[in-house]
Amino acid sequence: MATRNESPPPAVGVRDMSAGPGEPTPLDPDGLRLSVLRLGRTVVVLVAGEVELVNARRLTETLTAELSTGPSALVVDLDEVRFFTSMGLTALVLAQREAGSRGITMHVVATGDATRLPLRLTGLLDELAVYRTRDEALEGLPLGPG
Amino acid sequence: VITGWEHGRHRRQRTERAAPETEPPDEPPWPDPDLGYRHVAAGFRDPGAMIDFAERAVSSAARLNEVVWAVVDPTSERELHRRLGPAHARVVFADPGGAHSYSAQTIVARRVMRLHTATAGGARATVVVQHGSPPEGEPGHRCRVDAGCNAALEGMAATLICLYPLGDDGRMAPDAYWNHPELLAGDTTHPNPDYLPPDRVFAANPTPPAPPLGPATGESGFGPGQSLRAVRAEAERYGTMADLGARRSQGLVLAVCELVNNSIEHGAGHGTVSWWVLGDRVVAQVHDAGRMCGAPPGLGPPEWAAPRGRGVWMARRVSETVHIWTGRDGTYARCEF
Repeated sequence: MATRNESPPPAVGVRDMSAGPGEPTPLDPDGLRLSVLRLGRTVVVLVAGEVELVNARRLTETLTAELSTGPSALVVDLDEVRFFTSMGLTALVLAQREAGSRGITMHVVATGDATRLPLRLTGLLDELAVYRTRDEALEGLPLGPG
Repeated sequence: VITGWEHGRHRRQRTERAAPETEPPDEPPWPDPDLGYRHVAAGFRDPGAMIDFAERAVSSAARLNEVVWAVVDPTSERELHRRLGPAHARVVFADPGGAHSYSAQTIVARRVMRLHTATAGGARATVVVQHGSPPEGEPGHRCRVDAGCNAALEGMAATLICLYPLGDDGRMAPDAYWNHPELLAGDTTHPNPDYLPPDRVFAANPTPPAPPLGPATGESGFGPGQSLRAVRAEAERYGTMADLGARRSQGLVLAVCELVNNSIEHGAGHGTVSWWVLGDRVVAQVHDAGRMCGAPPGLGPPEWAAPRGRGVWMARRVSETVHIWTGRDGTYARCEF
């Protein structure tokens, strides 16, 4: 049986949009990969892999850290998430509360059943601004410089 | 005395909708729509008086465009059909909690789901339940259903009216006084001074074990700091073994993972999952050494902004049955597909 993972959480990668799509980065040992895109005053957090008890805190911390930089909008892109539990929902709710109190728009991208089922079962599909694609989620958000 | 049952408001409400054909002369005062969740007990010595009241309750609620359920025995159902005439089509003669289950908490969760859907558009729901007849089960079961509703329906625009036979001493069964914040006397309800909050009722009347299943098909362990990957793989394997199909298999994976999550977070932190494949059914049971007190978790949805409280609720939504109880050697959470 594995013991509790005491190693420090892996760093969050920051992607350069000019690089374009490349080979998918492997997941971190805890099953999650987080990367951040900055598009003008909009921040996109790309989430991939599995969001569960052992790693959900990393998602919450990343979303909180990005909100604290004061963007106009935050997009949480769950397109590459293949397993999503209530721990992930908690991360989204905490981020939405924080975003709301700071006047930051928050959009969520949820494409597959893995993410849409938990969102639907808990009513969050209606309570959060959930889009099927990143393009839809980005529409109307401030993406240019300044 | 609850003032919301006064005639004036009720009449005003009714005039807002398209002309009702008939107006019974002895209309009872009826709930104020703004009152949120209400749970009323009414005792009757005479079965005829009980039917009279049930008729007035359901027809009044139906006229207010409420969603109405009546959970009554076959004799009362036939009589209500006869008396209501065409209006009986406005009443669902079934429990919003679905078919009888050994698991009171499962009935409660199903009622919450059904009432949540029914009231989502702004309608109010009324459920009239006749107690004291099969198939409601033994009194402890009925008591846990009522207490569970109190734990889960708070804030919902729903009225539960429970009809009890009166004993020779002129009193209803004891659980009527524990679980109903309002008691009916004549055409008025009064606050019930003996009402107990659901956690106290469950402490005094704990959830019994689920029925035994025989030797398990398999067993696996879990602990803190571990990924749920192994549990997921097991759930997928048993889902395939029972030919659950993609959708139910996904539900099984989610439900078991959420029950394990719950155990790690709120229970002993580590434990076992036992699996049974019974023909085309799968049963998973999570066990840890912790103890649960009070009302079972996850009977209803949390407010959207609540940080926690979604895991067990999701498990209940996708499972046929989720039954959580504490025995001598710890807490068990069983889900059935």
